[in-house]
Amino acid sequence: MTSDEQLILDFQRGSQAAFAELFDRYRQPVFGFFRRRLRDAARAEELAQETFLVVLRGIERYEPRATFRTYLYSIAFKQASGEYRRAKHDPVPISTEPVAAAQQDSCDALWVRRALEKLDEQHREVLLLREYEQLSYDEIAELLKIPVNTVRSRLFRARMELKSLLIPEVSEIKKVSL
Amino acid sequence: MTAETHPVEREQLMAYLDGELAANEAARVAAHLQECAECQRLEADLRSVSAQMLSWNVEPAPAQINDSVLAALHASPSQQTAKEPWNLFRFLFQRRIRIARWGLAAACVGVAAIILVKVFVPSTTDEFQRLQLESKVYRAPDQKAAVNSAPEVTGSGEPRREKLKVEPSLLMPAPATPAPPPPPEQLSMRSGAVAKLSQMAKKRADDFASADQILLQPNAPMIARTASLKISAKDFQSARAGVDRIITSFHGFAASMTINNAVGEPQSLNAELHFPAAECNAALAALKALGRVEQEQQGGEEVTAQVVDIDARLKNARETETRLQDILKTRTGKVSDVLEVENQIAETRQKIEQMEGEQKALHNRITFSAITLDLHEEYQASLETNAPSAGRRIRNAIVDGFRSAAESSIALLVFLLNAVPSLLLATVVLFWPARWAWRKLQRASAGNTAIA
Repeated sequence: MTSDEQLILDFQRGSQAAFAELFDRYRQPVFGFFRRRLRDAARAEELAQETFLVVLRGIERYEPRATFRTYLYSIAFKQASGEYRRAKHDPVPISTEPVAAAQQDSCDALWVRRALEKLDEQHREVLLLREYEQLSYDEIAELLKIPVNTVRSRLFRARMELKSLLIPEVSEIKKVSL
Repeated sequence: MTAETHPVEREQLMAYLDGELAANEAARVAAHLQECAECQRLEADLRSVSAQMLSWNVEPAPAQINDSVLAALHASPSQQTAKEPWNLFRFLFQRRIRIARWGLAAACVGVAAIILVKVFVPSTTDEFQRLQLESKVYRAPDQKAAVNSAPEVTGSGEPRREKLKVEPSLLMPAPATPAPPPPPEQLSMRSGAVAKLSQMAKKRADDFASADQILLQPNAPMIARTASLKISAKDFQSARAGVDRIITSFHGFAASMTINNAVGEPQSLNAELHFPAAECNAALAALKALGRVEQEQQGGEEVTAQVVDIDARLKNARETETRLQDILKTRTGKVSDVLEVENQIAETRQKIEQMEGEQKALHNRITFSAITLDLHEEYQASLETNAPSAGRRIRNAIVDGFRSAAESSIALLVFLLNAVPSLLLATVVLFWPARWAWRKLQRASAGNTAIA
């Protein structure tokens, strides 16, 4: 399988198929990135689209200094940060649609979402990048412009906090279901 | 669990589970995990959290993303460059446009700079032409006539005021040059004293060939004389003619002369006159005879030390130059040495010329005394009423109104010509940031609406 970096270089040289391949690989992850951070599905779609358009427009300036994945998520992260700033009057940027609209989610998913909402914003961001975007510690550090040790400590605290938030909830749900 | 009681930190264990440890470190943590029940519980917790998080799946990405991104991909210049020469041209052309934007901005800055320079800094060419013209005027053959001729009358609506600036070095007459005889009609002086004194001065002028030879004798004190006279005359015109005659008779010249013939005011003449030092007293006496002396002041500055000093320095510099030239002729050496000697000769020559200029200026101050003359007419009350008629005043008001309107229009045009390049430049500079900010603002409002 051709690496992301090779594909983006091929696209710089004019290969349309290379970008199509990259788009195919990252379409769903990038949409998921925004979908997990925003309430509005349509807005998440717009921002995912805008992220790929930014990659397209800036292809001439792309330099293979970091992995393509880091590059792509750094663009997405900037888009999301901008969206947070615009919606700063809203204290919870995480997707919190009404339960009725999210009935398709499993109970576990619903409790995970609610638990994540309660996390500290910085801890939550590191956790989301690790668990859902599958970024390495180094990639998260580069993207958030923080030291790797900070990433590790934040991630650990986030997981421990989430565990304490999830366990009673899950047990409670199980009690209710019983 | 602390580092003291436990060989593996909890964060380290988490990094191991995430595959973030180096191989040797990972092996150590794995070995420890086999034996430590506490770490096994932590492992189970961490895996449980990750597993629960993975239960949150998002819906599939909408197809609209595909459409819009792929449409943009088809329109992107990057993938077109490899296909057709025409597309390659378009790609390059689009890049050119970006470069052209910067070029346009740079051109605007350049144009604005040129306009500003043109508006605020006078053209060096014009200045050069003006200097050339002045030089031609000063070097006119009849230089004395330029001083003695009747001054030109400026605009009829303003007081008649004139100023003749004469460069002393160019107008300095030779002491032995006989003065042209004054016209008989100008001899109508207040008394015959001026004519008599002029004859005396002429006689005395024959006694010396050059003022320099007398004044610059060794051991004689060298004085740069100055004097100022304020004289009121009853008949201004005859007094003014007398000034011209005195200048001619005593071999002097006027460095500057201003005559005021304004209507309703007493006529006056202000001049800075220079006379040979030997004839200064006679000239002063002649000038005093033009009318009633209201104020007189005389002064003298001894410049012997300065003259001696500059003469000595000049002599030394000339000797140094001669020695250096001898060295250059007789000695041989490296090219660098020769060049150094030549440089020194050039420097010495420059100093000599500078000192010669100073010496000449100093000698001029000694040989020619400066007299500042303030000649004015005694006040005479006039019964004439020169007030213009009502019709004339209305006509003048109309003309002035049109003139001021025209001047205002020109001033407005000049202001626009000055300001428009700057405004254009500011527009070019601020257009893109403003456009970006406006779009961002619009997007923000749209986003807020969508989120709300």
